[in-house]
Amino acid sequence: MKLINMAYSSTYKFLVLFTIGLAFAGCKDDFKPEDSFIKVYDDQDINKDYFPISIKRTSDDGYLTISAFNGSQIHLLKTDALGDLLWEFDLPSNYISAVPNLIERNGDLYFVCMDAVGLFTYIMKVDETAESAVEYQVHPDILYPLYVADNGNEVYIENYERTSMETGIFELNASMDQMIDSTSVEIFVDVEEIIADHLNYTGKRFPFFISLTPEQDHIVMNGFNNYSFSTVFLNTDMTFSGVYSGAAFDGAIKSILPLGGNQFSLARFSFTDLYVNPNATLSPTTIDIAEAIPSEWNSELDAESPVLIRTVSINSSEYVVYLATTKSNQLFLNAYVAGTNELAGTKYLGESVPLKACDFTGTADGGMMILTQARIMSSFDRIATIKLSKEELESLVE
Amino acid sequence: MKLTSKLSAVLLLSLLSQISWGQFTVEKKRRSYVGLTAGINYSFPTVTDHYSVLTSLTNTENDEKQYGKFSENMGVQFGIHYSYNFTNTISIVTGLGYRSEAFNYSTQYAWTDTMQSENFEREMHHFQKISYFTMPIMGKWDMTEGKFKPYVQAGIFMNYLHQANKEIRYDNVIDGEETSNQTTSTGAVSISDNIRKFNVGLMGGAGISYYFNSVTIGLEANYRYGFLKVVDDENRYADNNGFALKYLDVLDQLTLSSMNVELTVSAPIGHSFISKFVRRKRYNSFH
Repeated sequence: MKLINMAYSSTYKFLVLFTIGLAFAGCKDDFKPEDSFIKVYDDQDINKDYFPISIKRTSDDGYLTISAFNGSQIHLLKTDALGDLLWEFDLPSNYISAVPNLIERNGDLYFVCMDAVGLFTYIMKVDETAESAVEYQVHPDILYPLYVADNGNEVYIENYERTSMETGIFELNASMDQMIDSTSVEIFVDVEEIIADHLNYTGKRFPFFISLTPEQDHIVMNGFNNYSFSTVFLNTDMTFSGVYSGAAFDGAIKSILPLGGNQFSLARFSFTDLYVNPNATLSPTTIDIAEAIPSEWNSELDAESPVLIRTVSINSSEYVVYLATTKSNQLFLNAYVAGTNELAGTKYLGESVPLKACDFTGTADGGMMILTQARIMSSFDRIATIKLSKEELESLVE
Repeated sequence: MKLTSKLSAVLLLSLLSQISWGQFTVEKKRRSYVGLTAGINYSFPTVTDHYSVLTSLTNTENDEKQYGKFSENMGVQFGIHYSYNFTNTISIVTGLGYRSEAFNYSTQYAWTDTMQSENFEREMHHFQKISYFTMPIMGKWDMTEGKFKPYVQAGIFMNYLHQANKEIRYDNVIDGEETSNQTTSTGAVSISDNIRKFNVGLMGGAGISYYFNSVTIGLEANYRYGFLKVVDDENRYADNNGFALKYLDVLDQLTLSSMNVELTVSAPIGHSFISKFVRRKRYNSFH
């Protein structure tokens, strides 16, 4: 009987210790809600569709999103670090067609849009206190703004000159109140209707962009040029350097990330096909054909949707990350070891709801914030954000 | 007032047992019993943190989930139990069981057509069922030594997740119930990755048992209070089942408590109980 009692005693001591241990293990909880989330920002108006354009992290660790709605109208959305809505603002209808990229200056955010009647350019400043946006600068000489890029010292605006049928590029100073330089390339055909469809989301969306090489020795501009949609290389004094011409308007470079030297990560499209090369060699001084750039066809990617290419640091290593949209409307993340063709990992996001890649940015906690358009209830195009935690991002390259 | 009523009921049961069955005593000291239990439970989810996929830009009304009544949250449990009696009235009870706990909620969304009045509504009914292996450890006090024993017991339990699944049934009419000719179901889909693997809590309750010569039957009710969060925060938005975006659904953080009612059948083991199990007690001759 003593043996039995000892056995019972040992068993229950073990159980008690086991329970306490498990309870402590269960209580361990270092999760932070801002690490990972999915948010869809819904408007109960059936007739409103949203087209997210750009997202930027704000100084208070929140996020500001700029979107188009009902075609060319402009919508601002401010959230906190958890993705919860802080405020939203619809700009008055005279401000239309915001272009990609929010610009940060001294903690304030700016964006570029167009006047609905005069077609000239506004630079708008986001007023977080008033939860709105106000005019910061007006540039009456820049019609049809299409894209804005910022390297911290200069701001570049790409536009369409409707009277001369040219694609222009304007260099502004850091405070965006003075024009430093400008140039243009001839298109030779009138593309105003095509551009109007692009701006109003009523037709094909063209991948306008401006990018600067890391050495700051070339400006790379994607736009209409010489009867085609082409990638034009300019010297820093705005003189022409070289061009990769597109196949009319049906084939061209889709997105580009200069890596340094003559190396570029890029995606290019040809009709409905999308090709990628994470380590392409381009010559800024050549005159060549974009469709001749060696690239690998990715059969599952949608050529009509945006492709975003960024350098992302994951686990202290640099990767080139592509964010694209599959033909079945999933988000597609591909990571390559920077400067190589070595694929580090692939991740798909979303399975049952159409998603479209719009923008992405790194976050302070080592994660990633993806801006996407989600079609909910099979009907309504809404702004959505997907926050990946550091661990989820690391799983991309494991 | 409630406490007084409960106390009165316990005392009444004690008194009845002394009157009706007091002439018998069950010799349980240092005896072990094994048995089977089976019953039903009703869960009470307590939401600690609200989460949602959809954030309304225009509707400032409360978008939180509407949780169902506990009577709609029925689960079942069964298992084996073991008890060891230190005295005729004090014992420790443990065992291994399998139980399912259920909770449900509904969500409602509406969109307005400002041009053609073709409004759109979607009402979703969410049914979650979580199945655990469970192990209770309780101290038990029999209120009498007779064959009819009211008892109370209290202790802890540990739950180990086996599986969890979820079904969403939805229709296009917001009326608080499933519209029979419109309802579509997702079928049961696993949400095991969204649920934490372990939980622990307190439990306690009361019951009555009757000791036959070789077997004991009983009926008991226990309340279980889960200490730990049920949902795995890190996987909340992982969207493993595609529900997050398609059905705009993520689980809130919550704890689960439940009220269990179960039947028990047990028999003594380890001793020659047949002959000595029930001994007639001659009160008057001993006193």
